Amino acid sequence: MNRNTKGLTSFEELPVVDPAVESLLGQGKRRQDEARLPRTERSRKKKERERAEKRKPNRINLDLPVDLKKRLEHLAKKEGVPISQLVAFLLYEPVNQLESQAISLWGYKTASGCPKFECNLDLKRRADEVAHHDVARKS
Amino acid sequence: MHTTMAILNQKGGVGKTTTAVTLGSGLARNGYRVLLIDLDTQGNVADSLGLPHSDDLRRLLSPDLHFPLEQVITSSGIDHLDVIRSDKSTTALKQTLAGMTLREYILADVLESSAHDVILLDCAPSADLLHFAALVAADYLLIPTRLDKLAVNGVRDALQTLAALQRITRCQVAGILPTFYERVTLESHEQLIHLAQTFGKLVLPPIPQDTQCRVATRYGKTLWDYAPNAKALNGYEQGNRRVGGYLQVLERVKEWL
Repeated sequence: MNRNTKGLTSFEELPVVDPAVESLLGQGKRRQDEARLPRTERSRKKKERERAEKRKPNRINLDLPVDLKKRLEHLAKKEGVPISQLVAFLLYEPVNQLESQAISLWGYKTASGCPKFECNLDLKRRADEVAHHDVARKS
Repeated sequence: MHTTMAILNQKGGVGKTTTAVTLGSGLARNGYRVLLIDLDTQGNVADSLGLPHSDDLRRLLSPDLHFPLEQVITSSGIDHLDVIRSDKSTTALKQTLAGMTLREYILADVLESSAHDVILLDCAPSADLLHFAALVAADYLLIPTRLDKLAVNGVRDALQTLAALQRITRCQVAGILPTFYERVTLESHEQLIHLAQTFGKLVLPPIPQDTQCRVATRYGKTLWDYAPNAKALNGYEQGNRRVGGYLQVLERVKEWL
């Protein structure tokens, strides 16, 4: 068995093991590493880990235009439902339409300055068009 | 056609009976017809299931009694789970069998007629005649081990015994099951790494140390009935999933059947 300076076994030399065993050993290794950190750093790591564990895999953060957020909050309150469920309810149809190419993002895409994304979407144009379309339909 | 699995470690107190009872009852709950045979003179399988001790095993294997298999099988009270109990009379049985020829085949022969899907052999913590008979009768060997040096030595001894019987058994090592795992102690962690480095994929997800196992035995209940939320069953919480525990081991065992 290889041992490092602290008398701990090296984790790197494991052969192929059961994923559950690997996961528990990984956790043990992380605990050992954290135990060597200064107290403030250790507590920061612990908080970070707790926050990450609380995060649900189906949760995403969305930046919504302020007016849209207000409208959604208003609707959710009026209907007495959670806002996240209301958004999920409203999204099913356009997601299907986009997947089946019944609608397209063409015309709304603008160049993005961010290296992570190729384009941004012109949400103001989309809001104006939807509002205009509604007015036309009512009249 | 049944699959026979011997649960064996020459070191005592490593969780052999708890493993046999928990996996046996777990498989039974999954619809498998399971026969659990106690090969230990202490008769702890009966205690764990809340049954009285009996000389079922002696009546089955003793050459002068030689009861048919179906007459010594007792229902455990759990659907699909039958047991063959043991008690102090097993000591006398071993002495009787010692003078027989082909005694290593005695279990394999009597179990041939079994209509069960799975047969689990809960072995005694000693290298005796029934221990060898179990290895000859078994298709798979499961070795539970505590995560301490002495118990891990027991794994080595079990493997040596199996190697010595290589010519007369088809038994393969199915897995090494770390029990009494404490994720916060360095010794548990070190021994698990040691096992994983030596045996690789044979090391099964560990069973967390859990007092509920002892309490369930005291009440003569299986963990599934007494404490379905026990850590020993469900493993440790790790983010959004559970790691280790008999539930995860049961899934591995079902892959061998």
